[in-house]
Amino acid sequence: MTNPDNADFLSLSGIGKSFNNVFAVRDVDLTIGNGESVCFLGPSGCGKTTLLRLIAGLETPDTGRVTLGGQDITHALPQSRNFGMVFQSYSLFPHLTVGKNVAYGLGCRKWARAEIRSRVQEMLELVHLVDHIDKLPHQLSGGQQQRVAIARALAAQPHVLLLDEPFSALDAKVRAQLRADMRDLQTRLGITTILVTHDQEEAMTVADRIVVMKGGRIEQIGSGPEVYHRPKTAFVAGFVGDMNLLRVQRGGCGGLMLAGRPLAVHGIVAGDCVQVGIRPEAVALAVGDEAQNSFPVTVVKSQFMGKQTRLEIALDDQFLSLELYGRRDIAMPPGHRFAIFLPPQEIRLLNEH
Amino acid sequence: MNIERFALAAPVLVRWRLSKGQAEILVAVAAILPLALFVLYPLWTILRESVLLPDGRWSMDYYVRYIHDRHFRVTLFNTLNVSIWATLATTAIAFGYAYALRRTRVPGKMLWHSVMLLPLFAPSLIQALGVQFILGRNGIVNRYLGTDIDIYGFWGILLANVLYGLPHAYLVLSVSLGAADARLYEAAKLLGAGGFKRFLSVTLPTARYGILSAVFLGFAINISEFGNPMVVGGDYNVLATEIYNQVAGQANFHLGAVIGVLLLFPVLLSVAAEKWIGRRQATISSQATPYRPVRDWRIDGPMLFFLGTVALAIVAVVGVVVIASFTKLWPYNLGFTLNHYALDVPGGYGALWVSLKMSLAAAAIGMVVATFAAMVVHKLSSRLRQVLYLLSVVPAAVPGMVLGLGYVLAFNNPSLPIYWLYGTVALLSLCTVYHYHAQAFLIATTGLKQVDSRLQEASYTLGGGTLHTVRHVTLPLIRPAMASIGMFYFMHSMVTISALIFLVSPEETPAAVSILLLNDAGNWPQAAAFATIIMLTIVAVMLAAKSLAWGAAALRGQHSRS
Repeated sequence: MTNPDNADFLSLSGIGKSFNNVFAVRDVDLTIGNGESVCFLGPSGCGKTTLLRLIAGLETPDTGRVTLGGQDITHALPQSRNFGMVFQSYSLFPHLTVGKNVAYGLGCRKWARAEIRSRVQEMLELVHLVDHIDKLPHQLSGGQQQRVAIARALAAQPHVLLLDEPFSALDAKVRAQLRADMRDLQTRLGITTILVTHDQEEAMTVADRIVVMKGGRIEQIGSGPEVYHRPKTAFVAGFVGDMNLLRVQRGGCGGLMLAGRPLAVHGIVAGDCVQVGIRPEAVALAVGDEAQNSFPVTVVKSQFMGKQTRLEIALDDQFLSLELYGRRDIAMPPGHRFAIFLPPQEIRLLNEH
Repeated sequence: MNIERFALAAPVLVRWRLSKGQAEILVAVAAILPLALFVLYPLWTILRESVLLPDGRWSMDYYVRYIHDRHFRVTLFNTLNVSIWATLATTAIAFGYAYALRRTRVPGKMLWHSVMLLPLFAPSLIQALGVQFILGRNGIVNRYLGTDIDIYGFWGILLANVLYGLPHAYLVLSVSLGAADARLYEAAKLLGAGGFKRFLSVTLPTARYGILSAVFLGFAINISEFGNPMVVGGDYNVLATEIYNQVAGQANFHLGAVIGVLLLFPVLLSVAAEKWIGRRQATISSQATPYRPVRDWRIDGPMLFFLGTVALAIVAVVGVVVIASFTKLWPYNLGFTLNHYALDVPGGYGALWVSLKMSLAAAAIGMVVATFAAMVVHKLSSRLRQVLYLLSVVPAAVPGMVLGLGYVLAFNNPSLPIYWLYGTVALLSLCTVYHYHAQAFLIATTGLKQVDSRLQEASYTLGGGTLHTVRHVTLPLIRPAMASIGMFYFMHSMVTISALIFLVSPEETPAAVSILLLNDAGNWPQAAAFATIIMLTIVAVMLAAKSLAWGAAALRGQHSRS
């Protein structure tokens, strides 16, 4: 018995929420399909966590509706939604053993004892922690605790799994491992998942779709590559990876001018475009035979970073950075002058708002 | 995924949302009502009594009459005089004591700390008894040095009150002095400030809120202290004893109420000031480096001497009572005897039983009442939250004498539906519960604040309702705080006098009040014996509770391992 219309399993429309007259979230419209993995990405204070808590029912929106499978659940209590939630701080019950933590939600739902026991066993096998069933949370490492929290959230077969910066308290290695495990689990179980993070790499690894947020609003929704390669706004461009932002002027016959020279780009230039972006790794050294988009620059700072060298360069009165890979033959001391090439297909036209 | 499973949710929830506000109000009222009945109503009754003329008119007559009375003006002056001096002395000594323990390297810190807390385990008038046994008319000093010191009056009250107030002020100052930032001292040192200059420019300013807190707290304690002036006050009348004389001696409830109201205001002001200052206490920055004192015998030596002197005074005053209780005729015949423990007075050991019943009941009721109030304040979002908070902390500003008098005036009224409570041990317990409600409430609040709210949210998202969450998450996690509340109530109920003095009946007299009555009757040896028994009982019950808790924990540990 699956929902025939998977496209809008969970949908938010016109969601707004303010605390003490300050908007935390506003005008959010979003639909999430059944089994989809979505990530809310943005800097701290962008409203991503508030949005997650609104979905969980831990906050009530001032405006708008939340529906699940067509049912209005805007004002449903968190305990009646059957959404699993994983918190940044693990939030395991410190006085209960691992097994009892995982069983907690099943007890709330009045499952039979035998069923609970086998389900707990099954969930702990899923996260490889069966041996730790009788331990207390403080006897586990951070990564293990978070796996227990995931098992606990999944035990009662929730409609949606909500993860609030689940990996940010862990150290880098454990984080990467757990992230990959999480993605595996998600695809295997096919559970609808919403993850909140400020880490773009995490968003790319775990999510089918990324919702980039800023100031309580959605800036862009798209797959990882879409958001990375086709950022709609300067904010998205800058937040998801590094982006050089360059002021441009309108040229004579509708083209763009950068530092007094014509700049060729792909696509149609909108009327209000005064800014373009290019990723540091897309900036190339000019070899001399370019017909267009070659600009003289001066090295301001050169930073050796191992596999690449990062250069800060000045183009007229603007600054940009570029990354050189595997060029151990070239020395680029500050003050060194050379030319760069900006490939037209790599230049993004950015709207500002 | 099964969509039909949550088909039920929505209609139920809309209904719930409507009643959510109502449920909150219901719970808030359930928490506010008992406070209104057992705190506000008695206070209101006192206020009414102080302005209500026999013919039913309201007027300030009693106040006017009282203020024109010279006797009253002397009493008021005495009260302020002895309270201010006792407060200053208490704060100064407690500051030195806390400073020595927090900022120097004197040896034996654990010992000094424990000795300072000793008076908390004893009935409040044990200091008075002790002072009497040492410096009184038949004290050991006058007897063996042939001196003729008359301690009764100002000096007796001062001495006894200082000894009684010390641990309270010490605890406040100890916290304040414990939060030292070594970086400030290093900076001062590098700038060329000498030791004394550093004390003036760094130590005192950072501790100023603590000092002010201690001053106001001490003043509130001193001005409402009843047991000490009762025993060593002599003819030196203070407001607290004056209420007792007016009400118990002359059945003059109107004047008692007037004094009660007059006593209420300075205490209310100092408690409000103390809370206001407490909120301003600088929190130490997270980058602060803890201050590590270095050994310096030029400071540690005198400090050690100071600690020793104060500790000796504390121990001597308590110890002399214990010793006197075992001597044939203090101080003339120091032979050993157990005769005084026969307690052949009306009530006798029955009073101890009354105390135990009352204190255990107060611990049980208080634990529930204070935790419930704290939880409701913690969860409530409406304006009722402030009302409940204020009501919960107001008792801190009500002197025991005033609350007790309020209970007599309010509940000794046959037309009241709860009149049957009057004269029972239950009312004594309730009076104690609400007398110390503020402190217990704050312990519970601190306990609740330490529980991460995400744990409750985790429970909700896992399907636990509010009650389920309280039972399975919140309550188990604040169990230690609740145990402290129970312990706190038990200790204070065993030793409190002031709030109960008006409420006791000859059949139901708690042990602490018996001591006062024995002392009044000139039966000092038995008073000493009874005080000793109370201290032993407290220690015994605490040890029993500790070992019970320990045993339960061990059992649980075994259980969860198996």
